[in-house]
Amino acid sequence: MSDNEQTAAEKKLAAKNMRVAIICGLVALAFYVGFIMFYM
Amino acid sequence: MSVDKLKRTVLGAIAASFFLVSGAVFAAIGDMPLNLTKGVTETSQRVYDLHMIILYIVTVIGIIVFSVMCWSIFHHRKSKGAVAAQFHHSTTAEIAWTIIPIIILVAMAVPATKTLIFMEQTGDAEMTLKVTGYQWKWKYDYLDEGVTVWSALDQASNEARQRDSGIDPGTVENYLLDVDNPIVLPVNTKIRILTTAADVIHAWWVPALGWKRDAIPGFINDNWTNIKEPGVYRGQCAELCGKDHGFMPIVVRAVSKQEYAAWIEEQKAAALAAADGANREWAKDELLAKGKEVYAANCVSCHQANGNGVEGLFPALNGSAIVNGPAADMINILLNGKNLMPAFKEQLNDADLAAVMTHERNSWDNTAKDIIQPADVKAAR
Amino acid sequence: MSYAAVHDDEHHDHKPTGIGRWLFSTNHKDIGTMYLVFALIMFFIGGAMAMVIRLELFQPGLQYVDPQFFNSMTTVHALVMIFGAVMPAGVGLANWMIPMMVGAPDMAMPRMNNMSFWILPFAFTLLLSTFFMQGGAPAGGWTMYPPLVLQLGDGLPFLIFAVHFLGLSSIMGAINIIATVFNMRAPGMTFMRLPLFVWTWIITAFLLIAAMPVLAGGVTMLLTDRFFGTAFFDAAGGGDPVMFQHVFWFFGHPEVYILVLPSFGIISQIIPTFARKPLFGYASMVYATASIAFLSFFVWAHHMFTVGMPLAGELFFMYATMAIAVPTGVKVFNWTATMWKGSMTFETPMLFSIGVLFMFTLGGFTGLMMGITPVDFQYHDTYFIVAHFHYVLVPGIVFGIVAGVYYWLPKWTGHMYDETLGKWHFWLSTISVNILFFPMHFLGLAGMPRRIPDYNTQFTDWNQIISIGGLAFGLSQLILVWVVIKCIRGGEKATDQVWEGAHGLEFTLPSPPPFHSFTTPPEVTDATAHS
Repeated sequence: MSDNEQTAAEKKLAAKNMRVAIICGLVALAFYVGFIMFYM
Repeated sequence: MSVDKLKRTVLGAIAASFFLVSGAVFAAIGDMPLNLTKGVTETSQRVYDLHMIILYIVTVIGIIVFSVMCWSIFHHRKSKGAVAAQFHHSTTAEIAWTIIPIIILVAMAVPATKTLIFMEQTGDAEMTLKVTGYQWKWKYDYLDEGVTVWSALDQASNEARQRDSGIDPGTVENYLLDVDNPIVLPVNTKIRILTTAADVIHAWWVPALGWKRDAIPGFINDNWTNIKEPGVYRGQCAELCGKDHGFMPIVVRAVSKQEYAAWIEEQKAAALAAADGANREWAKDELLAKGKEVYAANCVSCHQANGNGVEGLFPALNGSAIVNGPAADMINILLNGKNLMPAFKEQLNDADLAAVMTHERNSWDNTAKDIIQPADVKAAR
Repeated sequence: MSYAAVHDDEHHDHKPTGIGRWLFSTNHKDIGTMYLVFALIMFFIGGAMAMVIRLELFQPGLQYVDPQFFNSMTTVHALVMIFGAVMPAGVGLANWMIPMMVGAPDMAMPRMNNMSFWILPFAFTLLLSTFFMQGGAPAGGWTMYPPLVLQLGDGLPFLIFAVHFLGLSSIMGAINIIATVFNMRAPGMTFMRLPLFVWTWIITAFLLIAAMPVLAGGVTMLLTDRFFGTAFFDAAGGGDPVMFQHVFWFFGHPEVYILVLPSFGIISQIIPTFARKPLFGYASMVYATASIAFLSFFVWAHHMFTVGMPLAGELFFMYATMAIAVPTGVKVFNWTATMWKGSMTFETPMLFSIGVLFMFTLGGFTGLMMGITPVDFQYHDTYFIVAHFHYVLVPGIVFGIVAGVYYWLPKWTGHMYDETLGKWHFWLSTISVNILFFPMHFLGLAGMPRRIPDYNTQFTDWNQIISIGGLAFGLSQLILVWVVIKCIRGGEKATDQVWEGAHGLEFTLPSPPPFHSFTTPPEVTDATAHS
């Protein structure tokens, strides 16, 4: 699992994937918290 | 070729037998329930008409769409030598099958909107009936008259519906659609019907009136009806409300205005007589007899006929510390409820409560064996 | 980072073996297989519960179960079928097919993929363990309406946490699909060249991310109402029980499309293949799917017309609901136009797709009827709605998933399945599913409420016919299991293209495909796209 074996292109893709995951995750979390806050 | 012929013969035979069978089926289902009731109010009639219009529209659309599908399934098949065309869009067709459905939908929305507006006009009612859902019975308050009716599943259905009762439901008239105390409403009167609930959400539904409405604890819903024909109309709770959701029917007896007035007087007299019961001393046998009745109507569905309750859900009364303990604690729980146990303060009068407690304290293996007088309950209120 | 797992495996030239292959799998095909097997097991567990329901309803009177247990059966049947069978089956197909369809080696985040699958068995252990608890399994309906659901015994927190886990799993699956499609398409695979199945799944994934947290929020409020003294839904404490229904259906209606869109995608792949003709109106299919998904957030209250909304609200939700019929109609017409003047053959996947086309449309018609508010006051909470959503869910969605399984099974295993058995499966399922669900329309119109364990004797005949249909449908599904097992063990060798009319990147790979789908990305042109 050594990350240093990755090529530059693979690293770039991994970063892009993480970005999508973080954005979507935050949106989901915001919906969850937002809905509860809305009704409080 | 001969294989083809054989195939066709077999298919023909299948098709013929299909029509024969479906003919027989249609003859048989003639007697089985199939469609919505027309009901006995203007609302229900309008709803029925709307239902039929939309049913016809979707049937026609269905026949057209399914015919086109069937046509291509039968004719554009490879085994018939069909060669695939290669078109993959047609702006004209796509616009047409977007616009035409929109027009049909608008045509459907117009009568639907009119009917809905008609149904929501709850003003200028001549009388008001408040319906309260309980687990698992209905309470009806005639607000203008001060009359209250409690209405639960009738005794015959209730006995037959118990597991392993050994009673064939076919022998019970109006099985699960009959109550101990049907409500009475006058015909040709605009009646405002308010729905609410005491514990969980129920829904009050008499199909012949043309609507159902949820009964929600803490909120009151506003509806109306105006029954055109005298008769007995039956319905059921339509929102899952727990264990006995299937066992809280509704029976409305629609009668002439004169009969209705007479019935109201009867109810008032009965209420006065019952209130009187609390002011006198009761004999033990009298309490036990009454208590047995009250227990069967109000307590048995949770605490069971043997008093052992249902493990994990409803506590046993048989051998219970409360039932065998001081009378005051027991009266308090019956009046005010506890956890899932509803408050019976409003549901039962002093005599009923005293009788049922006396019954419980003297039944099964219970050792209290004493009696509770209606006056004791009255004092604790 | 997440790519490392894929990368790592490439250096070891062999598949991991034994139980570890499955437990620690980061391979989209293995995870897809696990999802599908899990879904099949859940389908039979949920089906067994349906059998208990139909057994009790075979005749009036209570013969086999108590009302409380009956309610648990209807409740858990729904939860298991929706969250355990249909959703995981959709994700399983997405896992298997999306990387192959977009020309990627694997999913974007293989380790998260592993986690989103392995959450499921734990979530369902939580849910099903409630059968052995004080107070029994959830019995307040899968819709979990308070205050009734709060009367549940020890099982309540287990129900709620199971729902939380299922939501978490779905959201992670959705994120993975979005990342895969957005970042890992092969060169030349533009968005408007994506296969329809991929398109429907991206839209589904966005629906999941928007809808699942709302459900999680709703059940969290139930949890705090029960255990931490809040009163979100308790009128006595200033709350509103109806508010839960709004929250639930704000999730629940998009959920309907989360379930159905993958099925739409599958039949959009299959019909062109067996009509040997390109899909009619590709672009309008994409736009129609997107419009359905968008509109699905504005129609939730049609599930609760009877709660007593203001007239303006009832009218709004009626019109919005009717509007959904337009894009749905466009899809049905496009499929019909795809078949028109085609050169059709009727292998099992095509049969099931045509089944979807006919019977989903039928469910759509009753859906339109129920969208008409004043009439819905009669239909609501009767067997009419039970008939409607089962038509949509079983011959509309389950048939679509089954069609997909038959369609891609040769690709997955490298063997053709037994076509004769497949046809038997289709015809038995189709006949029995109609005997099972069609008479429910009549029962509902005649006034039989849903979720009741016992009924008036006038409903007996139909209920007996329904129960017989139910048993026949359940038994017919065993054929599917047999076909799949037989196909895995051997059979005629499948070609790369599998089907004469099949197009798409997945059919350029060998059957079965290599462990990592596309290690060198294929080049996609306009000619190779658009099957």
